[in-house]
Amino acid sequence: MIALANPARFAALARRLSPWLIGATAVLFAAGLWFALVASPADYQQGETVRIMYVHVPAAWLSLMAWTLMSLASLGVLVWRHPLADVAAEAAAPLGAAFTFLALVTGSLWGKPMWGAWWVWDARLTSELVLFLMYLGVIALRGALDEPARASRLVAVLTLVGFVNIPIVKFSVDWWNTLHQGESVFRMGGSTIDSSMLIPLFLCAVAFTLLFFTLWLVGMRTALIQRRLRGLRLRAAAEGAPGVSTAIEAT
Amino acid sequence: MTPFLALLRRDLRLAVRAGSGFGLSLLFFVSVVVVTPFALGPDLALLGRIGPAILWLAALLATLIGLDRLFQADYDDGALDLLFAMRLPLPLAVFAKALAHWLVTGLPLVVVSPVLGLLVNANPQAMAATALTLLVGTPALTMLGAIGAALTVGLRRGGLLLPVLVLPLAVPVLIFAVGATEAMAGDGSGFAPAFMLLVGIVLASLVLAPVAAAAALRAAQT
Amino acid sequence: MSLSATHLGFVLAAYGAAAAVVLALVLWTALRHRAEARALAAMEKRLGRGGEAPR
Repeated sequence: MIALANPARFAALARRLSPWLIGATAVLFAAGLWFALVASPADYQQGETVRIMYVHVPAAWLSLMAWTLMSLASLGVLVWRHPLADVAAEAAAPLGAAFTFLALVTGSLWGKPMWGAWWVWDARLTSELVLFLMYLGVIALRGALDEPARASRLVAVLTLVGFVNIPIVKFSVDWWNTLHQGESVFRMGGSTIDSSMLIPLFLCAVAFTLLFFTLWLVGMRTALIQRRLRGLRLRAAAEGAPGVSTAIEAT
Repeated sequence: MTPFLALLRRDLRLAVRAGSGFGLSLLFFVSVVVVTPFALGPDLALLGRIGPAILWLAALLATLIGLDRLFQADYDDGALDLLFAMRLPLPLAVFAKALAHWLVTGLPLVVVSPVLGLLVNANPQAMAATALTLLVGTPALTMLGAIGAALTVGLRRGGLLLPVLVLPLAVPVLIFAVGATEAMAGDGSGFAPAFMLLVGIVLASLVLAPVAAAAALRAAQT
Repeated sequence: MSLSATHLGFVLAAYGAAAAVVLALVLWTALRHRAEARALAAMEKRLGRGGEAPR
């Protein structure tokens, strides 16, 4: 963490890692898709629709993981004052929102054939929908604030407040009688899913996770560039450098 | 007089002063409850079934819409800095301000709700349960709203952003409040557990939300 | 038509949605990065050229 605190070094490291991450993501997606669509069996009860699990579950896992990473980054902003923490939080939010959206859409597409309804207001679906709204709220709050330092702290507080929803989503199927499937992968007594389906599930999960990290690192580099740009524009406006338009572009 | 009571008294005085919009939240609450049946149609049975939910939604909206005033006036005239300088811990100061706000905007809603229960054709048990859950739940709404108010203080577009940020946090209160009321309107068997959970959530909010709001106020300092 | 055949549409729709979201994310991330990097390069060139000279 300390070694990565220098933005320039981080950007250089991220740039070098990028090709490897992209390659690994592509390979894992290829393998995951192969196993998900071709080399795994249909379910005894659900038929082919079980294959939606290989997209829906990783998306849902990532929707929780992203907010957890954002919360750690928020602690980095408020407690440890790590210089890269805010950039990490900013870059993760849109990704988390997209994966939450994907989880909701694929879940709905899975629910219709399985339960007969596009949507039910049970605990897990409701809390995941609330999570999506919270992602949008965090993005909206950051967009509404002009000052970067203030924005980083306020967004950090909101993110930490919202973290209370993460255990709710996770344990909702245990605490309430829900229509949604209970925990079947990470359970105390071992998974209840057959290994022929665990393989594509894990492959797709790793693929999506690698995709997240790939895009996250690029997003962080972009955010760093934007901060640098803002600083340069403000400096140029103050110094009155020729050829640089001031008031309108200065933010 | 302790700093807490002094702050509470000051905010109460300011809230009922002319020009502060005292009574507007109540007016908004009544307006929403009156307008909703127009959207639903005259089916009295339907209205009776969802009457408590209408009251709760209206209370939620009325609370949220008035909350941006919580810190705004102090922010505008610089009194917010005095809050930081007080001997009172900031979360307690936030609690005092939110309590004053609730006494002026939330409590009137509770008092008026039985009358409005007649408008939405709720049976007597439902009306009683609604009033009770509102009494217990609106303080939590105000306290959670204080977090949103602290996060959006000074923002030009903060008015709409506050409800957007607070609604996700208010969902559990809403779920258990309406759940308890529905249970009471029926055979009353599910009321106790739902009400207990509501009380639990409310108590947790009353303790944790001021801390979060105080953190947000500190974070908002430039 | 067998049961699993009628549900195939849902599976395809789900994978299609996933592909669309992934594609959108990748494009958005990449294009934004390129745009900002270009803006930064342009700004640094401008400042390097005219920054030190007096008005």
